[in-house]
Amino acid sequence: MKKGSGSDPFAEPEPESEPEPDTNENEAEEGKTDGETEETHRDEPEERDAKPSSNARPDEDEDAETESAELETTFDETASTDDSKATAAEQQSSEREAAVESEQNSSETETGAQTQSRSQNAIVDEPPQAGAADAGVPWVYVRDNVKQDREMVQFYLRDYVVDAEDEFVDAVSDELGTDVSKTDVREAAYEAAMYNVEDVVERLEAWGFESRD
Amino acid sequence: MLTYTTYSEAGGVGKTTVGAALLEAHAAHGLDVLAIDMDQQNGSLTYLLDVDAPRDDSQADNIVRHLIDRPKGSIEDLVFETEHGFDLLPSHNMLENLEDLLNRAQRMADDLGEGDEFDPYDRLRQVLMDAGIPQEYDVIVIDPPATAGPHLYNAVSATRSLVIPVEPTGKGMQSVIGLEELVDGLEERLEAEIGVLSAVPNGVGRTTDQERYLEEVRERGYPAPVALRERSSLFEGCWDQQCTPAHYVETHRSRTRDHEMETLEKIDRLAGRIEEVGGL
Ligand SMILES: Nc1ncnc2c1ncn2[C@@H]1O[C@H](COP(=O)(O)OP(=O)(O)OP(=O)(O)O)[C@@H](O)[C@H]1O
Ligand SMILES: [Mg+2]
Repeated sequence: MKKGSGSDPFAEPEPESEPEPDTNENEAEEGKTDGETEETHRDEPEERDAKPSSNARPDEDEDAETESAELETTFDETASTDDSKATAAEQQSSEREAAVESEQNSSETETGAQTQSRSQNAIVDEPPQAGAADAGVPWVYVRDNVKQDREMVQFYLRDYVVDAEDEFVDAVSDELGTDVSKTDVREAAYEAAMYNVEDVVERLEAWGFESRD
Repeated sequence: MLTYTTYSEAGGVGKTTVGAALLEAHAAHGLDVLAIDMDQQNGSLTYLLDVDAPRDDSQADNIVRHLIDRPKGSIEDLVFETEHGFDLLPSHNMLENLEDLLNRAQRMADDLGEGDEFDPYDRLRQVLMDAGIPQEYDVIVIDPPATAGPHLYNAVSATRSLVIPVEPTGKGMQSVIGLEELVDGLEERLEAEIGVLSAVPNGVGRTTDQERYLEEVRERGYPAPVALRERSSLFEGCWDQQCTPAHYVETHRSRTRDHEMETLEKIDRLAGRIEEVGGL
């Protein structure tokens, strides 16, 4: 450190091609090398990638990361029986897809179509605020508190459901890789249910509602 | 060009108060001065200077949107003129999420293959430079929050010099001893040479203690032109009226008080000395 003025942060006009305008300056003054600078820069994203859950947020990148992490785990279990990593992973993923598809088909024929074209005939619209897939800053980052933009509605719940809520929130948080509030989980759950009418119908039938015809 | 961050390891030592006083003094010296508020707290420079910026409008353009490369307009449009002869780039509530937002922006840059060019701790400097801000001002002063983190790192990386208010207590003096190590840590993290323009014992109780504290700081090799006495009435008045100290004395005091004039003179001297050390 210097007792007095530090180096001039705006010493040189930024050269177009060089991402680190100060590297030369540092080099001259402190004998630091490009290599050092680049190394630090390369390390950071890798570190983040290595622990996808630490900063996990409801965005697509994370989904992808979590999925590939899952894939790896399943791959490890089955690795000994397969020839190459690539085929194992491929097989695994297509198996997963097939499993998901058949699940959907057996339970409900329309569900597959729903997931494919959400926005076209979905009951609920896309959220009005920017999401992870948009260019803007996702809503969870720009809101000041969990109640912002939300209207309070009353829900009447029986005890056994209320009792399950905390565990539900924990399970969602675990899967997501980051803590999430009950308020967020509730809305997400309700929204998810709107994409899964059949599941909701099943619940209601289990409670004793019967079809009129 | 003179750039510095008001910095102290502990909170509440007077970063914002002393910073505002220095900003006012630099401006009174005829310099073009910009203050940047990187503190998301309500009791920050933006509040003290009574600048009515839309700090809780999440849709409005603000400093953070620029830091994460999602601006909605030009940075110049975010700059407010204060009543005290200098400009302010105000704080915004989005600063509360700065760390998450920078991480996210880093990932997006990575996805685009531009990850190497995105340095989350050097964003502010980049943004200011890209907007040509350094060409428009003689002095840039940044007020960071009390805690270490991306706000402080961006501030220090963009200024590379520090002015350090020191609590005139045994503990405060102890922090001066730890300063070298701390600044070394910042230098390593930011890969830049960091300088200490001045340490300022602030809130000294008795005159007799003043010289002792100054000596101690100077012995460690830091420039320390003045110590500021305990002036609660003056500085609390500034916070109450939301203004800078010279402005306060001028508009809210019916008669001049010698001890307050003395403090204002010291601040003026400190500002002048900082300008000198900073090479203006
Ligand atoms: N020399 C002084 N004499 C008396 N009071 C002072 C003096 N300097 C600052 N204060 C008071 O100390 C309080 C804290 O000051 P300030 O907010 O500037 O500290 P800070 O370091 O910016 O705090 P934070 O770390 O929270 O940002 C304020 O109420 C201010 O009026
Ligand atoms: Mg402060």
